[in-house]
Amino acid sequence: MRLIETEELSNFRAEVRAWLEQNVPRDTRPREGPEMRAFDMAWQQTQYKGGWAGISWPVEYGGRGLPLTHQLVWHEEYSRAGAPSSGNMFIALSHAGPTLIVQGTPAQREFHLVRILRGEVTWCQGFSEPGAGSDLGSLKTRAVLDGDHLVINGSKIWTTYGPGADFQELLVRTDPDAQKHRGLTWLIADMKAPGIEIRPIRAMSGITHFAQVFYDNVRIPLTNIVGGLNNGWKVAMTTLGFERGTASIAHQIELSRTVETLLQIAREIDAPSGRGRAIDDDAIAAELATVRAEVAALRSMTALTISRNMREAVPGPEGNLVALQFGELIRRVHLFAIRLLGPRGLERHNEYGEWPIEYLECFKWAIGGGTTEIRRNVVAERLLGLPKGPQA
Amino acid sequence: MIVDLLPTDEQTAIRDSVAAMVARVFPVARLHEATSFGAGAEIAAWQELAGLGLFGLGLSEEEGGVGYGIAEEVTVARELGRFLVSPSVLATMLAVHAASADLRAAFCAGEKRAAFANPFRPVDFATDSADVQLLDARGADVAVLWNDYQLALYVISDCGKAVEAIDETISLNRVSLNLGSPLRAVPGAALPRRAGLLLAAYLTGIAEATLAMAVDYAKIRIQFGQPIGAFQAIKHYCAEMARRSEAALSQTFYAAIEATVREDEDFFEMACARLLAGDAAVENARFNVQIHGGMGFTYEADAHLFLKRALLVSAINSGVRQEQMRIMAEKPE
Repeated sequence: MRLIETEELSNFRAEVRAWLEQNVPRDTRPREGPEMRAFDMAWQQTQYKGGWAGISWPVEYGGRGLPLTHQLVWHEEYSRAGAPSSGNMFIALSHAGPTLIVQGTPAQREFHLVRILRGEVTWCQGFSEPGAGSDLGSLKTRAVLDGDHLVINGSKIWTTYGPGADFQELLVRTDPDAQKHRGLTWLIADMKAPGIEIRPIRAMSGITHFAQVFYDNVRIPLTNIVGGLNNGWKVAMTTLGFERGTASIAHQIELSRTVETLLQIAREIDAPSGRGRAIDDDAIAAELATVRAEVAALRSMTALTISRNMREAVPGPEGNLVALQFGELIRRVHLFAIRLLGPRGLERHNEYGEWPIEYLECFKWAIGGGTTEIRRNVVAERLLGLPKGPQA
Repeated sequence: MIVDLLPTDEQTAIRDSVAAMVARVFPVARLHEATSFGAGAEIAAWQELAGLGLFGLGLSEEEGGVGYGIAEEVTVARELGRFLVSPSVLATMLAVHAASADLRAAFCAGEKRAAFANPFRPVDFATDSADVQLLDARGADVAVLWNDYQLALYVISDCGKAVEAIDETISLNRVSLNLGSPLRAVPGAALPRRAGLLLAAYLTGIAEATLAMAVDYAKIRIQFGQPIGAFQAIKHYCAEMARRSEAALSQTFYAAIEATVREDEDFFEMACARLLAGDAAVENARFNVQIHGGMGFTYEADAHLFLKRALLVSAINSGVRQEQMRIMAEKPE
């Protein structure tokens, strides 16, 4: 329990802050379509040219080779500056890239990592299936060996940023006789390969940012296997671990900004009684204070998780606690926002923002990447050592 | 602010030595014996607590202390919470920071003992007196009282009227404190903030201890042919208890580090810690009772001891609304 912000780190912070002030895109990020993807890639290219891509990635792959602490400072300043989310670049930067760094072959690293950092390609994830959501181990998309290729048949779903993606981290079943989590393989799929069909799915918010992907005899070279044949579960767990570590810090700081924005709105709009401002209402002030505290705790929980990650290479199940805190809190904050705004809260776009869309979108945090319920099971079984439930 | 929230090697050593002593001398089961009530066990072992360096832990060596800081005091307070050690130990750890040289030496040597004064309304030190509750103050020398702007010590000359506490293992007295003649009064928010941090850490210890108790019980209690911990309903209660503990712990540690770094005296992080640690302690204690089922409802089990202590300590000079108001009063950077 100690401060580790050295003078060097503070100088780095100042440098980051100055650069972001000058370079954060002023335009609003499009919410969907090819414009959104182009926007995300352009912003990544700007960061690369500025020397800010892959801060903690090894130098030989185009990164800066700096410690995790610098990456953290970057995330903090990034969010504070109101920089747009990495969006279409997210899977590449926070999942695929780090996974390849740990598990990839030299050729895979050589080819992919620098393209990711330069913002030349986007990636999507191919884990969930129509019949395998939280129960990821039961996935059925088959890969059959044929010479020096695997032939893929099946379907993936909830593929965020699937439309337009260049590559996919694809989890397939290579050994149908093996136990659930064995017999899976983690592959790099070229999304332009023949036999791949992408059907966009509209989310309940009305926004289209994910898709179902169909594979009809898609041929993927064996050289695209990451981490070895039938070792995909272990590789995938590494990937999910990254998601629960530092990658979440940007979302967490964004939520903190959201709460502060709500405070400002509460200072401006009328109280429900019609007398005074909303912030003068005791119940509103109480809820704002509580979510402020919960967001502060989220920041501290992330710091504790990162402290653990700095000592242990592979993130442990504790990261689920942060995800639980975040998934429930973000929905609470946005529901509060809609109610706070009164009639304005019913308008999808108004002078205070797009709160209904944000509210409907944030359900994904309690569902995607493991539902709240599955995360609670994982905490109970893997962190607390309670007996395994049926099949889980 | 980039922090390492895991204990340093020194903090681990401090924690281990305190935890070993506390587990040996103050097992929670002691609280089933009336002789342990009202800090009975603690008073009997007060010299040993002093010998461990508890009361001078956060004092500089020039002041006669061990030379550590808030982070180490918070580390200790968490262990005290786990074993429901008398709040008068915390009060004494706090009072040394406001004491004169003589009194400080007496506290460090274990010759004098302090107790928390819990005011019925936020204290106005400009008035003549304050109605307070004294906690485990029988035989104590000094009462510790604070508001957001000042912390003051008073001689306990009269304990006042004994009342029965929700937590009957704590002695509670109602008294009107004469505010005119404090032993010492230290203006500023640093000590009030320190008080809040110590109490938050103690409450975190309760949250963690009740989580551990509930999980242990859920592993061994068999119903319907399996441990109750195999049922998802129980698992999810436990997972939420773990989340609340983690929130309380990390926020309390973060606030403790912030308090050592920031010159301006800001209550925000501390108030967040107190709010969440209080919630975690009370909620986890409540679910621990629930998971223990019929046994949890009995006087014989330990579960109720934690619930009662959590309710009592979370209300020392605080409350949900008070902390919420502090959180709203300060704007985080």
